[in-house]
Amino acid sequence: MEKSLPVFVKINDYKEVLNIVDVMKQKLKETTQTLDKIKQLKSEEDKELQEWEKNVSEISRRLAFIDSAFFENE
Amino acid sequence: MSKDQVQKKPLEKPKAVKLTPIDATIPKIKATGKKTQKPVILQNAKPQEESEKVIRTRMKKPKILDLPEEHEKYFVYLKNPMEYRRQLLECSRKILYCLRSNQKIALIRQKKIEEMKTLKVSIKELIYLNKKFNEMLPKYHTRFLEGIASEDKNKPVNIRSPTFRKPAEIKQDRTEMEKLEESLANIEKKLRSLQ
Repeated sequence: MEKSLPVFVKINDYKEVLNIVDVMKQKLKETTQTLDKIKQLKSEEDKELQEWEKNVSEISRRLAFIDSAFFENE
Repeated sequence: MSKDQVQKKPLEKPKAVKLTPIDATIPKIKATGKKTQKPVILQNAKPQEESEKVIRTRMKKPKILDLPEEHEKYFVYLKNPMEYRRQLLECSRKILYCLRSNQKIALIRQKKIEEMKTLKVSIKELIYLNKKFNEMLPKYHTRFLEGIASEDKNKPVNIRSPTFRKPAEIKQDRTEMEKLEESLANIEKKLRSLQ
């Protein structure tokens, strides 16, 4: 049997295959949308984490200033 | 208007009297070293004497704290207390921002988990559909595969005897990961055979 021989599919099966392909397309679309949402949420999370980091560094800076002012007499 | 003049006048019904700022009280206020606001003049205000009393009662007397001598050493001079207070308030504000960020992140993670669940369901459905799709397609002819195998006869093949397999390798409860690994291996095997 050669590799280049054509493959035949039953017409009933063929219709079902087409239906399955349609459903798969739909599902793939949904999956892509869900992935996009996850990406968006991840970027939001990263943004919040950056904000968090910024705030923490700001707090440490201010506390260092207060600390130096309060204990400079020691 | 001096105090004596006011006392001589008989008290009348309160009218809309326009009161001027009391000049006499200003030196007294200055002497205490406290700044007070000028009295607000209203249309139906009380006569000047009464307003003077109100001003005097509102004026705070400077507090003198009688602390023992040993307590004095606990006081530290701060050059700019308002600045430190501002800094502390800023710190509090930033901490609250951090807490708010924490809440936001928790919410985002919750949403993300929900989306991941949805994605997992979608992928499972896709796997199922793919399986169905493969079932619909014609099966590989055994001779076709044998022909491909015969081409690779020259390559060394690891042949394992059935007794080589240990009983421990037979897995009863396979995890999802193992199933996926197995499917992947099957597909790769098929792909290799097609090449």
